[in-house]
Amino acid sequence: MNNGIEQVATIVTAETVAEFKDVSKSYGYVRAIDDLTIEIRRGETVALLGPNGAGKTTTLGLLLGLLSPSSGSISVFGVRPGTQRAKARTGAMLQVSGLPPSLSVGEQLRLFSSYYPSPLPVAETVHAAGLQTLQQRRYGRLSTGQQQKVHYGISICGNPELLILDEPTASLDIESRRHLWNDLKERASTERALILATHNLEEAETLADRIILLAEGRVIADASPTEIKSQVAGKTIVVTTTLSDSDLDDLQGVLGWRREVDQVHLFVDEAAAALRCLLAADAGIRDIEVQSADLEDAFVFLLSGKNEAA
Amino acid sequence: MLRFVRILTLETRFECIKNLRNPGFMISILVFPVLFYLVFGLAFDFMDEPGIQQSAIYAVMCSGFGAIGVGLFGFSIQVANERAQGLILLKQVSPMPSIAYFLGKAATAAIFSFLVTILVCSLAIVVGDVDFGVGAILLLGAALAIGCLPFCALGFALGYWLTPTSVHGVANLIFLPLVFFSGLAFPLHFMPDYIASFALALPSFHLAELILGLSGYRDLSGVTAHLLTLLAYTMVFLLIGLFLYRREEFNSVRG
Repeated sequence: MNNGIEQVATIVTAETVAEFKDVSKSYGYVRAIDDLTIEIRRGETVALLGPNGAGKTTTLGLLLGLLSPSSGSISVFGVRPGTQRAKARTGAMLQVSGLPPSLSVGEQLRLFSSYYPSPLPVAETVHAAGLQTLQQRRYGRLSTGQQQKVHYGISICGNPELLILDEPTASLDIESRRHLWNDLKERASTERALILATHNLEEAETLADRIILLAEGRVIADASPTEIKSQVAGKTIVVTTTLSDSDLDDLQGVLGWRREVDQVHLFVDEAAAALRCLLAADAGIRDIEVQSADLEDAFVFLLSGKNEAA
Repeated sequence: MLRFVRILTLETRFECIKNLRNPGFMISILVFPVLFYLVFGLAFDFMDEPGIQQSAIYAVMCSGFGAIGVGLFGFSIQVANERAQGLILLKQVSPMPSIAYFLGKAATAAIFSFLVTILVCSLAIVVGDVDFGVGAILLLGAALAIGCLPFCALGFALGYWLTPTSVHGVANLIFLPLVFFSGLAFPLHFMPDYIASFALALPSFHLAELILGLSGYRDLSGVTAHLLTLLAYTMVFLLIGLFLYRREEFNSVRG
């Protein structure tokens, strides 16, 4: 009975795992994060996307308590990030690791597991990270991809409720990437929150149920992958044209555009109408192709200036 | 508390394994005292007096600067490297208590100082014809396990201050005067007066006096004062190291 009440209380109070309130972070005159307000809840897998310099790593650094905000407040499990209480429930895979090259994979995992109050058994971590055949090998003798698996093992060894991953599969081969994705999908439960910064859109689409798109330290979009794609429910017209930038801006029915080599990608609500306008403006268009908008088109559209103007 | 002890035990154990698997480090901490003993330890027997055997005094001294090397080089180079490579960042992100990092390395330095003492004293027994009792060796080893601490703390501060490329040179620049101007390498009465008075300010001088006192070559009454001075140096260097550590903590990640 008593236990039941405690459980209910935990679920209610633990809904929010991490919260940013009006957070800004500046390095000198450069504002890396600009008035960020986000809330991450238990059970969510959030992909943090954005071009280089968008503020992804800074956001993760703030979340881990490695950086302190210039203004605003951040809480992780209701306490300040970087405190012992927050760290005991958080696991992280950073882009740097510097693990001692002379210690074996098993030794590294044993040591890091000992830091956490209720870690996974080392054998389970080894299995989850796909390190079964590498346990006895010294870290310094592993390939980059194998080392990355060790970093993943270290991030999950404490059985964390909040798992933070910075570019987790950047140097993995396809098979290892699939293995890690599968493990992450299993790990993503109602008990846990996952936050990953990535450049890999397939990764975001496969794993995340929520995408936060950052640009210049601000949130441009915050929605599910499906919702984000539906924001550009229309089509992409790929075409070779002599139209100038200002002509393209003036085209009716075109929501956004980008140039790629000598072709132009136009994002449109409705392909037929847009094509008529396009033909009217430039009768000499060639190599016309109409595609469904994918996640990348959605981002280009969301990040483009035309979207801001609209 | 139990978990802290467990963490500390594992940290120490894996630090020891790291050292043992690092031939460069092992050679640097072992070769210097051993070589010095072989070259100079046996060369001053003409100064022997009843009750004062130079090859025995030299074994005590060589163990002493062996311990300084273990503390200073072990800490400064490893901390600078581990800082630059990101290991400290990774540990900072984990719930490892920060102090465990220092304590694990310090315990390791204590163990290796003890081992260097046993090695040098064994050498003295074999080649220097010194009659060391087991008790005397253990007492010396224990004194140096504690006596290496100020040099650990100094190395910790250097490791947080310098980059991996500059730390080697600076650590050597500090190590040599610590050893040569403290009476550990040559007796101070061979040195000019101004160096002998400068020696009083060096932690290595107090280490030398401490181990000479415990080995029966100085009056025992000075031992406590030298021990306290060494602990005071440890605190000062540790505070400087912690200041540099805190300063870095807030500038660690960019991008």
